[in-house]
Amino acid sequence: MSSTRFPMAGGRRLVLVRGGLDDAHRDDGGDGGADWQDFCRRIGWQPPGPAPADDFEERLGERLLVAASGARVSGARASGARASGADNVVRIDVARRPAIAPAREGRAGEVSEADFGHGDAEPAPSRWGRLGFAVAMTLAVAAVACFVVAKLVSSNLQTSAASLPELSAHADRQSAVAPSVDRALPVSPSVAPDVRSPHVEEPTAKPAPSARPPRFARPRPPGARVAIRSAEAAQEGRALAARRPAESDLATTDLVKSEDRPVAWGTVARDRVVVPVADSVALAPAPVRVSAGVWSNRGGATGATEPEQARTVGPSWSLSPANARWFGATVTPPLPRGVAPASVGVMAQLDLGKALGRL
Amino acid sequence: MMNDLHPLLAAHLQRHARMLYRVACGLGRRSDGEDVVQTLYARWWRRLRDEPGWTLPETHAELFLSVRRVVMDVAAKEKRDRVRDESAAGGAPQADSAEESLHAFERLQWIVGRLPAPFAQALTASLSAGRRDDAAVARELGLTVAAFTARLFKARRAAEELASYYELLPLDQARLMAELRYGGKTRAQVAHELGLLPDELAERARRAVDVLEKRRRAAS
Repeated sequence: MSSTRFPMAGGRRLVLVRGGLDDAHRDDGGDGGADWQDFCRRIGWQPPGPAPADDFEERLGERLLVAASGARVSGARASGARASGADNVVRIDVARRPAIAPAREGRAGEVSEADFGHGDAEPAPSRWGRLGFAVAMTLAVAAVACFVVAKLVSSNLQTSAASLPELSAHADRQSAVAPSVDRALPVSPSVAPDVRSPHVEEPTAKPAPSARPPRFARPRPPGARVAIRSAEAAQEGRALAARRPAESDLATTDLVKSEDRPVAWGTVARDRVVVPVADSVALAPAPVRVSAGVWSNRGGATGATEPEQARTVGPSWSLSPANARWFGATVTPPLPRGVAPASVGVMAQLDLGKALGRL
Repeated sequence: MMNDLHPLLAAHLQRHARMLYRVACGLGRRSDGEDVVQTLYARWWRRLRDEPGWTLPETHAELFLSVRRVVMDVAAKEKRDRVRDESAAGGAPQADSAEESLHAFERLQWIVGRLPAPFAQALTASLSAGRRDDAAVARELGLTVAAFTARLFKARRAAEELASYYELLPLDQARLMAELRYGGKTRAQVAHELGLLPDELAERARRAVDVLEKRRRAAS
């Protein structure tokens, strides 16, 4: 096979002929060409987007580390909560649920509050359980209050005979029983005397200085006005007095008459019903007074200026429907004149509106 | 920053992140391709922590399958959200690019899932690597370049046939034709699985072929 024997053969030559696939590859820079791209579209393969940035790997690594650190923090919180055995720890995933998070905007604490409180996804049995707990607590508080009232009543029965002349001074101490109501709702100073009350204020009672009412108001002269502590409160009191007729502002009756003229419970929120209970069996018929603000056995608790003759005797207690949400019961022991002011009191309040609202 | 990552993961990210991003774009996730890749690496990182002996996928076919799993999860979530939003709004489905991408991904899923395994492997590896890397893909699959090219050619024909089934036939007829053509089963096996008599199966197949030819003529 040498060129000498076969002069026509010449030197060895290799000829490469490109096939169709190679041509298709070179035309499109290696991505298959139009035919391949059409095939890709037919089977659902999307054409590639723009090339990622030069720092694509760096940014991806940073994002991975950030995501991992966030997961570690949340995992540590969850494990710490489990280790401490806390049951009331806010679960982040629960708090971030869209059912609760969009419901109220604000601080994160409100979200957790929604999770424990009025969440829509809360099962009904737990709400009933909380209601039962609230009712049980209410009954317990009421029982304690009744016990204290009974003790006070029994002590009054023993001491009232000796302290009858002195009890009028105690009526003024009642002004400190519900001071918040006193400040919030001053009433008209007009007072109708309770003519059936057997306990009459001593005529020698000293008039109280009206410039600065003390915490335990001293006896005031008949007709004296209570010093209203702010101009706003005074304006409100005058508006209240002008809104109601004078005869309905403070009505005095006994229990039988009170049935003839029942107090409208729905409209009594700004009225005061004064119901003396202690000593009433032994000493006096029970007068019922309708005034603004509070249920009580004393007008003094409201800061109203009563004639000393109109004051009744007995231990003080009051029910306060002055607020639409809070209903309070207050008890203080009666003490004769000269004894130190009452420093023992029981106050129980129940947010009935809130409790009913949770239903 | 990269030094804080798992060393194997950091090296893998440097080698394959761009290719994974391209696969994610090819699967219709061009808008959130980076998120898909990040999710994938986060899963791998967790698995490397939990199973120290586990090795990261390296071949193009494996990487394609990994990205496809993540995209399937993301697409399923998007589909649920879309159905929920549409039911809440009471309106017609939206016709935007995201919806088209979702349909394209479903089509690709349907086709790749019905291809014979060797064809699906060759096609997905080629899609992942791009046509310029046929030699590397052939080495990964343990084939010569010529054998890989021939297999890829058959895979492409099969994929185009399945795409025509998906486009032109109702879904039940498309499934039947794909099962008969590429299922690797005899007609008796297919009839047994579908609970049909052989004659009933033949009648259904004949009707599907008639519909397919009629629509192909109409399309051409």
